[in-house]
Amino acid sequence: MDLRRLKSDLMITGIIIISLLGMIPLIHIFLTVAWRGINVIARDPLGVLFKEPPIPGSEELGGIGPHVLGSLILISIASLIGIPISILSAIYTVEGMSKRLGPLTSLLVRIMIEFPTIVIGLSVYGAVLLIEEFINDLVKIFGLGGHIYIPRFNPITGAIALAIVMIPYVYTQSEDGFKNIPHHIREAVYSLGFSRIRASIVLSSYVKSALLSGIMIGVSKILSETAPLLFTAFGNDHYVTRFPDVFLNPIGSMTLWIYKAGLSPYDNWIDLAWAAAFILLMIILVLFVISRYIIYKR
Amino acid sequence: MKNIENSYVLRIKDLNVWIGDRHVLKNINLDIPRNTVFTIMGPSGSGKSTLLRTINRIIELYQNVKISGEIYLENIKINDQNTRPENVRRLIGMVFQIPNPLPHLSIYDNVALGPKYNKLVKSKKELDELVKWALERAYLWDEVKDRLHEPARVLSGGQQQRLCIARALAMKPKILLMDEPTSNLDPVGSSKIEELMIELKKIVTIILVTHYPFQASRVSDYVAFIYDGQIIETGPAEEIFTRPKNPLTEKFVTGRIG
Ligand SMILES: Nc1ncnc2c1ncn2[C@@H]1O[C@H](COP(=O)(O)OP(=O)(O)OP(=O)(O)O)[C@@H](O)[C@H]1O
Ligand SMILES: [Mg+2]
Repeated sequence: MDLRRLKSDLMITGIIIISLLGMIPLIHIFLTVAWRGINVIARDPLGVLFKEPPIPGSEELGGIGPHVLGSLILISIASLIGIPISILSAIYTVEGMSKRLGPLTSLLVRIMIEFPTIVIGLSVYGAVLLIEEFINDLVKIFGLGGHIYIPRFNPITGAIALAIVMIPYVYTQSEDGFKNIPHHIREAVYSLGFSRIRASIVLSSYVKSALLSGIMIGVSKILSETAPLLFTAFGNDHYVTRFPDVFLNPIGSMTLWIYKAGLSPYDNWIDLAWAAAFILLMIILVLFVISRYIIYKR
Repeated sequence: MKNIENSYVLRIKDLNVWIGDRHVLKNINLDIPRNTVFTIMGPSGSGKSTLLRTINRIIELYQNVKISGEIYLENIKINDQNTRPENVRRLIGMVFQIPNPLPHLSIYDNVALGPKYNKLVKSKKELDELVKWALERAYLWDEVKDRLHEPARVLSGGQQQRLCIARALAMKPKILLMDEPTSNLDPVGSSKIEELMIELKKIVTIILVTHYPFQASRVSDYVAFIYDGQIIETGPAEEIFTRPKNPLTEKFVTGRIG
């Protein structure tokens, strides 16, 4: 009996030690990013947040303003596209608008999670080329002159790629939320004579914490994505502020900046990459804590 | 003849229900008189809940259900393709076995939800009045009038069930289906709801499901005894309880099956 006890204690101690060992690299990364990031930001907090990056070879620090703003714009547009699509599809599959298409949607979305995100970026790029070609064929058929050009690198294509990355995460959380509604609650709602659409709205308020945590997870996911932006948003070290231009020109993001500056030989660029990494880490940490809190409260 | 037709608020003709391969309800024929408590009693698994769910078509939320037969609400057929289930559910309210207020909504909103979204009221004032009216009818107003905006989950089980009754009443239904409304309540909570039913039949026809013969005898005007998906016997309550014709019914009301 004592031997069994001893064995199980040894096992537990072993597991704890191994988990701690496993966490060391993680903690190391976290502390490094925090240390280096804070040091850079402390030198000129407002400058880092708002200035444009320095030209290569210059001594000044500059900032990652266009990339912070770019990430903000990309994430916002991607959320505007991705969140409604995800939640509506989840409602569509669970609230049984269609017996056959519902499960199929669910399956396809679960496959989508497995797509490498660079493929998603490339597909959006490819889609733009195809659409352009199609339009130009039409132009030719109707005998109109000229050549139509669709800008490939801009916030819209970037946001579409990010939205596609985001959808499966928000979708699966929402679908689980709706699936876990107890039957007696669903019956209560339907017994009040609501149409499926109205009932779904009422039920959404019942599962709002699942929907919210799905949104948090989705947003954190795309915050840290670089690959889908390589062929879409493309990156831009300068502010583009005038109205239509913003949507027609390449746009930066913090992840693209980290990718580009981190590989560069310039010390001040590399410093700014650490700053960007730290800012991203903090945002994701906050989102993570909020979503854990929501799940915990549920 | 016309008069007899009109005294029935609900008529069920040759109703059969299959869930998957199971023939759950077999050739049900029932006529429910207006402004009465009509009780469907029978042992567990006999198909009572299924019958109620078929009447307000909430059964259509399940998969693999097949239904034949006809149901008329005031001489209008309500179980065909031309009638939308939500229209049926507006006229036929339901109270369930487990008290199921929407726990994240306030007491007020639980009652107001139905009339508000179904556009039964024109103004906030009218809605307030309707909520008060429904809560009074459900004997709950005095207990909650000072905390209408607290979440419904703070109420006791018995209060929650009366809130569900108020929620259904606020839709001004013609029929109220009650599926073992007291089975999860203590004796005090149960007797409150029994009193309530007798009062409520002035404004709505109640179809009650129970597997307690004693409850049935206390509140019912009419009783149908259902066994294995079939109506064995139906008639005025006193007849069923004093002179049952079928030996099975007699066994049930004397507590020997169930
Ligand atoms: N969703 C379902 N899927 C499969 N079978 C079902 C379903 N609902 C009911 N049944 C079957 O139909 C029969 C009648 O069930 P029902 O719930 O109507 O009985 P009941 O008389 O209400 O019983 P209880 O007193 O226990 O509530 C049962 O045999 C049950 O197994
Ligand atoms: Mg039942």
